Amino acid sequence: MTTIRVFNEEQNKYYQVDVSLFSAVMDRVNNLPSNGDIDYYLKITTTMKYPDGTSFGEYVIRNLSDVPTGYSAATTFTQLVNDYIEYFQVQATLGQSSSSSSSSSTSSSSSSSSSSSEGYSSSSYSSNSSSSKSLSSSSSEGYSSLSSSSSQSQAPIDGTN
Amino acid sequence: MAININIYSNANSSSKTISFDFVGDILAASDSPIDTTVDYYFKVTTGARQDNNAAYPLKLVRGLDELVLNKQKQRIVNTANAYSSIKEMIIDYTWDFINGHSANLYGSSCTLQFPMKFS
Repeated sequence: MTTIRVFNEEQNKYYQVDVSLFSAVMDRVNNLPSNGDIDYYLKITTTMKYPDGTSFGEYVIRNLSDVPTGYSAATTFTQLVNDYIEYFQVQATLGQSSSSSSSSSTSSSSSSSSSSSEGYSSSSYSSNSSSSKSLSSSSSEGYSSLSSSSSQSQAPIDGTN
Repeated sequence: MAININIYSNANSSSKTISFDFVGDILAASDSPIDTTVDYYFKVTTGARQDNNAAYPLKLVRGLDELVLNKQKQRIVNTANAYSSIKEMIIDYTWDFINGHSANLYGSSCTLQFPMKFS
C-alpha cells in the first residue's frame, strides 16, 4: 500500500491518494459474469472531492489501460499513479489551471495512513476557492486531454464495486 | 495493503509465503543514476529459500512489461509479450518462485534459480 499526500496551500489542508493491492473474486470482468477466479487488482481512492462535494469513489486497476477518463494507457505504474493524482487534482480544482500539478506537490510514504484530511467539508472548500486569487475559475483550462469537470465523468471501470 | 500468497507443500506438510506489495519510493541503486522522483511499483519478497539454500533476490515490477525472466520473457509461456493484467503478472512471478528456472531459459539471459525449498 502507498499513500500520497497532496497539500493544498490555499486551504492549508492535506488530501490523500491511497493505492492498495487487493485480491478478490470479481462479480463481472469486461462485462462478463465471474468465472470464479481470484483476481488481483489495485484500488485507488482519494479524500479529494469534486467541487460540488461529491466523492470520487473507488477506481479498480487491473492493468495499465485502466486510466482516468481522457488519459492514454500508461506504460508504468508510476505514470498510472501520477495520472490519477493529476486527474483528481484537476477535477477537484485544487491547482492553477496552467500548472503541471502531478509531480510538484506530491510526496509518498509506504504502508502508512493519516487521518489529517478527515473533516474536510465541501463548504469550506468552496469558500476558499472563491477567495484565492491563485485558483482559476476555469480550472480545466490547460488540460486539453481531460474531460470537463463533472461528477458524471468518472471512468466506469469493470469490476468497480 | 500487501497480498500474501501461501504455497503449501503436501509432500513436506509445510508452507511458504510470497508477499506482493504496491509501494511508492525514491529508488536508488549503485548501477542507476541518481533520481529523486517517486516511483510506484510492486515489491515482491519472500522469506523462503531456494533448494540450494540461497535467498531469493528482491524483485521489483514497475510495469507489466517487466517480465519475470530477466525482464525479457514470461515464465509459464515462452513469450516476450507484456502481461495483460496484474493478475497474470502475479501468477507468473509466483510460478517462477515455486518452480525456479534454468539459466538462459527461453533465451532470456536469466541466471539459474532453483525451485522453492520446503523441506
